[in-house]
Amino acid sequence: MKELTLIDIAWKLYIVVTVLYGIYLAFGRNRILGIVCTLLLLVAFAFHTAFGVTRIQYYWDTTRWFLFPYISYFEALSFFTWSIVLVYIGFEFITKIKVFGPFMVAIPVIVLAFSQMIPVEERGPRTLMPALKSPWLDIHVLAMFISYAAFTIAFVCAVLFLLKTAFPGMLPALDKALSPDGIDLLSYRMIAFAYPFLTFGVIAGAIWADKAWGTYWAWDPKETWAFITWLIYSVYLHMRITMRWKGTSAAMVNILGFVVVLITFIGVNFIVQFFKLESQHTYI
Amino acid sequence: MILAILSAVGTLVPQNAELTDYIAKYGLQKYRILKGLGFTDIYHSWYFIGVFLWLTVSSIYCSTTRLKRTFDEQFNPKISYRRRFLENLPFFREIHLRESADPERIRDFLRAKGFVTRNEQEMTPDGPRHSIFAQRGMIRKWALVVLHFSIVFVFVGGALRSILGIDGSVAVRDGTKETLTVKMGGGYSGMFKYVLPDFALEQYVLDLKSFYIRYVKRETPPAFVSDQPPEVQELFRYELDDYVSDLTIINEGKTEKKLVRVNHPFIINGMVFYQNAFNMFVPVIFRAGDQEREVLVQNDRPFQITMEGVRFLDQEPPDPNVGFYFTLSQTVAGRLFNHDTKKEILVPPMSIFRVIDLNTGQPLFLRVISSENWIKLGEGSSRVSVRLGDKVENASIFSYKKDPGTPVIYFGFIFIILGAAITIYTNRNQIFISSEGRLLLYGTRIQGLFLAPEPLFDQFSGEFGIEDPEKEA
Repeated sequence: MKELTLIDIAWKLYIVVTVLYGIYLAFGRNRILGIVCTLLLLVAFAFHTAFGVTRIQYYWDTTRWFLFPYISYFEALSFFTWSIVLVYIGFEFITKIKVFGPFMVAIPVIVLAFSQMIPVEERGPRTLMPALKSPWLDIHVLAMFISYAAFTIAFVCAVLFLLKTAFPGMLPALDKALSPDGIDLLSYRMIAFAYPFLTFGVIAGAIWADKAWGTYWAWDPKETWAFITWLIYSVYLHMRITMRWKGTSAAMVNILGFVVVLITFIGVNFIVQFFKLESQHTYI
Repeated sequence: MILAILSAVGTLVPQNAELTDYIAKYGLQKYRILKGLGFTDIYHSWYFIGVFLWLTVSSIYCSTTRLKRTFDEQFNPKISYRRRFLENLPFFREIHLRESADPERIRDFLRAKGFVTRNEQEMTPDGPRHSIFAQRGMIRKWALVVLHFSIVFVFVGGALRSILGIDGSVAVRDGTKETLTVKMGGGYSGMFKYVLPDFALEQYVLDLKSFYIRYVKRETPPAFVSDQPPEVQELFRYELDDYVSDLTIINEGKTEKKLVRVNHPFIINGMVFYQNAFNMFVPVIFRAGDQEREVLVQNDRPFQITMEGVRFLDQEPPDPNVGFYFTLSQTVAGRLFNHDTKKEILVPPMSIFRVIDLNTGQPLFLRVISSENWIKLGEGSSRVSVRLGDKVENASIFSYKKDPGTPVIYFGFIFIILGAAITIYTNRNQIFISSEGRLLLYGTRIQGLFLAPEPLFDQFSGEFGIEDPEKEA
């Protein structure tokens, strides 16, 4: 499993990038340092991508299925962080705002650190279960991961908004880039961007379950928590659009939504084990 | 939010589990409380269904009121604007035109920008006053209506399924036939049996030629068996590829044959059969001294061989004198399929025999067991020789369904996605203009996620006049 070296390098580079972005934010947003941060992030992302490509190649060679690397738990964590970095790079490219860098890249650093707790022998590629051999796998999972990545950015915005509201003097460099209202609006936009992907992902999963097992919805813990995620973000958007909800209350719901995302993605496996439940999704 | 909380409760308490499991986990007292609250089958409890019904009714109400409002805004908008209304819009400007307003010219300008326009003229003591309404992106408004209606469609489809649909599962053993007799709405009760017609019985004959597990051969065995004997490593090179049933179904004089696999169901006259599960019964022959016995065990079902016979550990407690128990897994009893060579290979029944420590639950060792040679287990008086029998019995389990709600649900699904995407990714732009002589009041309302600044106003004022009266002077 030489490819594990690639993700290891990527992880270490993400740590360096997080620190550099922190310095960038703390010391007056030096332009050169900003460029260095972005370039280094791209290099780290290239290593991360190379790990993914190696796994895609492996799955293609062994199963003749084009699969993104999210079959094992380790791969799923890796792909989750890869999606976050991808969406963040797109975000930085479009908005030219770099001040979220230390917070955004810190999340992949933490998740990849968590993935290091998985024993090395379990980080290899997995056998593809028969139920997973479907074109719906990529469709469903990709849509979910894109939404999760955007929700992560929205979550960071919500936390920053609350911090800026509670401690107005904190991180003055942030004020120069965005006002608290600007952060709040950005957070809303990220959720709104992600919501159709989440909707599509949940529905694609239901259609796939119908094709594989003959039932759209079995109230499996993973399905149920995905539904709860959808409900919470639906409430957020509904309140924001119809009742002009914004500011602290919106940020709180946003944070709750992200906690539920984490439960759906990572926590359900622990819930299933702890409460001794049955789930058809425990392979992820 | 109530629905979210209730749904979450269902993921913390096992649903529809065996009574013995509940009692073992919670004790009788707590189980009674959970049962009384409906937490052991929360998704079918009256209050959960009630919340769904409430959501359906509110979605219907919301959809119909939105429909009426949207219809009016599209076809019958209010066109006569006073200054106070315009000033309260998110964007408002007052423009002094170079010459008196020409409503047709203004409408032409807005039409060229993709707006649909309407105007109205009324006479005032100071002369004619023109009101112009222009809007672009009404699809966003309609998408929101469609989104709300689609949710109702999904609920209706689900209700159709639960009232009229057929579903269940059927097991068929290798080389045998099973007759399945069902009818639509067979499960409905209460008022439905008086309201709905009595549907005809439907009969399906399922003829299973064979069930087998298909494998693909890896180039190397997985790393976790690297310290195992070569024959174990060799068998682990075969990885599960698919579950396959060679099935023929007869219905209404129609006979169809198909290899049913996971994700590849069998559809006949609207009834769908899915490869759902299987049972593999493996004969194990064991010899202890002069005695020889044959027992049927199941894949992955733990058992213990003692001098008295076989104990299945999910039915009775283990014999502590034996010290270990067994499971059979990766049983190969028929076709192997090597995708590299595309060649089918028939093998005698063989399996991985896991010997597991009774106290720790950890595997002691793995052995390949087959129908062709005996393996020796245990020591002293508990020494036994074991091999597999010559024939493995399989039963394939199919789930089936006939669901008149499917098209309705799919329709709902498609339009929920379209509705959400269009609502969020498109903008709606409304322009309200009121002009009297050379004075023009311009107001805009933009709805949408990615709100662009108001570039149109600059173009508009550039085309028709200047905003600042002082500059004009």
